[in-house]
Amino acid sequence: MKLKEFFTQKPEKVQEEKDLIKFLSEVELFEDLTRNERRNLQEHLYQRKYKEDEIVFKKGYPNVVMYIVKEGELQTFIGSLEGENIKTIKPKDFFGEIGLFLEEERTATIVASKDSVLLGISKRDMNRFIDEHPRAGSKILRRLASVISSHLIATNQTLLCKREELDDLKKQLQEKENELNELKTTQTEEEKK
Amino acid sequence: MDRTKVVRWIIGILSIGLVVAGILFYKSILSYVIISFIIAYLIAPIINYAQKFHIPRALSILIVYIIIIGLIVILLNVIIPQVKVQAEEASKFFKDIVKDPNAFSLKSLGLDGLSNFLDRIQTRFTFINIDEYTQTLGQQFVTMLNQIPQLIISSVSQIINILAFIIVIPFITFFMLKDERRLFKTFFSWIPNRYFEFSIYLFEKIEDSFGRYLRSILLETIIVALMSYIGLLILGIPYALTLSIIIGLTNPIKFFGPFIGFVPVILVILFSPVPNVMLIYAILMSLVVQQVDSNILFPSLVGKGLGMHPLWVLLTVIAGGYAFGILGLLFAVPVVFLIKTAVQVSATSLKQFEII
Repeated sequence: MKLKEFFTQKPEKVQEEKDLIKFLSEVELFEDLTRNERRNLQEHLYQRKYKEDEIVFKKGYPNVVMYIVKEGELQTFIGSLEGENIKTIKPKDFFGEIGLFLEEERTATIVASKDSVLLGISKRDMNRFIDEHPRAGSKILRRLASVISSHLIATNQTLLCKREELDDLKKQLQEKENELNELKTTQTEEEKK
Repeated sequence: MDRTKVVRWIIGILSIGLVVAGILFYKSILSYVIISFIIAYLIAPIINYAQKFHIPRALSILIVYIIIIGLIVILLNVIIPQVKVQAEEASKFFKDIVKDPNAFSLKSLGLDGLSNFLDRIQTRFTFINIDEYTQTLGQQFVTMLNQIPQLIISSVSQIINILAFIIVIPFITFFMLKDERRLFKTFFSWIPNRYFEFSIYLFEKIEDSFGRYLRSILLETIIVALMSYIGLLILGIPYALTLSIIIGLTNPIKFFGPFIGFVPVILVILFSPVPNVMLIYAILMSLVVQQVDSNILFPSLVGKGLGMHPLWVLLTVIAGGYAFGILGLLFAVPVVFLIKTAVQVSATSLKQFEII
């Protein structure tokens, strides 16, 4: 064996790594990272394959790993698995990011609805990466903050819509009640007569 | 029985056989791998730090190796000859004592009161000869002491072949360091999805407590040896370097370490031209070092401590000494601590992950 072969990786491994680094640039969270930074980050990623209907994690598990979806599709459930899913997670999305900041347990259950490939990064490795590469770390954190902010805005919007709907419903209910009361009074008056 | 079931059983048995055969086959190099792992583990933070500045891992490992080789060369050329000379002198010194029949005589301490007291006892109870007792006891002790270096060397060499140490271990360590992340990736890729998060959780928790423990013990050893060296130099006690190295190395042994490490100091002071009063100063010095170690160094380096009851630690040290000798004394507590951490973390997290 030549010395050079000894110190370099196999060509297919190198290609795999290159693809992964390219893929990371398409993920919103890592958009701003330079190639070198992405290469360093890539070393901490665990590639996991999930079959259809396989559970990634359940609500109540400790927060350990954050995932980025490479391929496939996943569903989020807050209640029981039979209940309605809240969100569909598509490729280039990520989930489990809340765990980076809060020590709390998982807030939802994630199930693969198609065969999926996920890239997992442990919470500790992620925090360590941010500490060790402050420049890259600040880029990631800024992106994450903007993603979470936009989530918050969207949530606020839906909340507002829901509240308006609720107000509408309340108004309608009031009107119906009034109508009912009127009907009742007319009925009783008729009965008296 | 189902046919697939039969096939499954056969494959299962075959794979267990394969694992057992593999362990038996690689058994002889297992100790190398463990030692390489420990060394790699201690060097890893430096390499990871260097990677921040885009220095390739292989290069930074080589640099660290060159530095280590440089240190070893310095050690061989400067410190070892000094230690050797000191050790030889000390050993000759002890041998001379053994030859001198009156060395352990309490009368040789030059205390008139004590000598008179001994003489009086001698004349009253002719069957009691205190001086003889102390002499034989002392001589036995010194012969035992002379055997200690050989004991250490022989027990260490049982495990490690020097040649292997020079060639194989740096080699294994190099690849462990260079491909650290790839090794982790490969290892965790074997674990089924169901246990993936649990295993990462377990690994990180253990690494957090045990890794910090291991690194800080090493640092503690160096600092304690250094402090003792300075103290002994100030007191002007001979063989300061050798003595402080012994104190440093025995320090990680819980409870007994400081005492074991201090025995040579006592002997050196008693049997060298240094006035015996120095013994009190040396004890004071050792007390100061121990207080600094246990009140400042250990809490700040190891943190909350082991979380093991002192009695348990004591029993572990004794048991380790009985089972594996000097190495047992040193490693019993860390190993038990490692197992305890693993059991503790799994006990709580297995339920959280709904595995049990």
